[in-house]
Amino acid sequence: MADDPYTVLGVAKDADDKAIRAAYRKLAKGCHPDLHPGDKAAEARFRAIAAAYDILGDKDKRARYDRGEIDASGAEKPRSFYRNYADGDGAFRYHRADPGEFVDLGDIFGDMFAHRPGGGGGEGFARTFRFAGGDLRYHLAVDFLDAVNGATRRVTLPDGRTLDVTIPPGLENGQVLRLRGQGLPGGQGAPAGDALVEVEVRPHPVFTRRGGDIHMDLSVSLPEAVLGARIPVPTVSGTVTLTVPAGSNTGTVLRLKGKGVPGRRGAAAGDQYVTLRVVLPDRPDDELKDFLRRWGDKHPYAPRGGKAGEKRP
Amino acid sequence: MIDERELLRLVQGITADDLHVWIRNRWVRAEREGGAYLFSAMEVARVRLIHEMRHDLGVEEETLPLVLSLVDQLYATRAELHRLMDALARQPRDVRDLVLGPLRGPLGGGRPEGEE
Repeated sequence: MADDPYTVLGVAKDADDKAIRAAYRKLAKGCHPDLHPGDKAAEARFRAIAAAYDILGDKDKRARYDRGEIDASGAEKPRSFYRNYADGDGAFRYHRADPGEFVDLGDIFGDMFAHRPGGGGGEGFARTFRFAGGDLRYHLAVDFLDAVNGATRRVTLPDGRTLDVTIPPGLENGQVLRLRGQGLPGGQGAPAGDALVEVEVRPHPVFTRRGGDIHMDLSVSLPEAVLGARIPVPTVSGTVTLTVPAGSNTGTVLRLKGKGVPGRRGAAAGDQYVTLRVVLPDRPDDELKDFLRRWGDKHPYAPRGGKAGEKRP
Repeated sequence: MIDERELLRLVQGITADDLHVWIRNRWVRAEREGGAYLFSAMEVARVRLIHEMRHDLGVEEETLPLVLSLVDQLYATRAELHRLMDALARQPRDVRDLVLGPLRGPLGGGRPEGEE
């Protein structure tokens, strides 16, 4: 799950737009993947920073985040970086007009080697050296429930091969799966490189995930909240019956123990938290209005604190 | 390949005018087909990079060609390095050891570590 965007950008909760922009610029310069093609971790850092800025750099989204209406995730957009092309076949597209023109490696390396001290090979250093093949990187979007429960997905690689990717239960957004030996073949019988699959977990319309716990909102009617009810609710492992105790309210959080993300390696499973939202009928009828008029006169209460029946701001 | 309208939709925040200037400056290479521009996935990514450098990373218009040229040189140099490594990978093991052994010591210049 994404971290708090204020923490990611290292700014205070009350930082102004200028400070947020400055913090984002500073961090993004340090890890923009296209400007750091050799740094494999740069992309994950940059995505986190960009996702945080996507929220805090937008007045409306920031306000919604501050009010708790959206969480720190969901702002991440799938994208392909320039380095994915320029660090491959496209390397000479912009640097040289004629891609057929061969670069004289001697120009670059000859100079370097000429000035190296102790350039000689010497005797007797025959050490085993494994020249493993290079790693290949892929991007895979998986459904929320597959990431939670685990699944196997078949992906077709650009070269036409297919690869069965086992998604372990509890997989998190941005996690990288390493498939040993599925990268580029190694030279001279050495082992092949690995395929690195970066997984993007698609958001779910109902569930959100925080660590091992699943959260969801559940609408209940006024009678269900006041009188209590047993209501079927979805969980990541199927529908269960939730007991809503009498006297529940909007904001009441009920826990379904062990119905969160399955535990890994013997760890306990997470829980599902259901936040209730009391929904009034679309159009209160006369009977309800009459009843509430009589009831309200007799039973004043103070939803905003203060004295019962008082209409303070 | 995608057309200009799709590109402007994919890379939020750039205008057609920006894009035309970049194409004129040869910062972006678009294909032309019957008077319309067409862009490959690589060009889309490059347009996004240029936009981010201008807009998010604070690279000024006049500095942009310099930065782009350095970026292009970086990728070309990396490709040259990869070619060298590929050529090396096709050599017999003792040749690779001779070349790569000295790179493994401190600062890449030391003597090889203990023999086996």
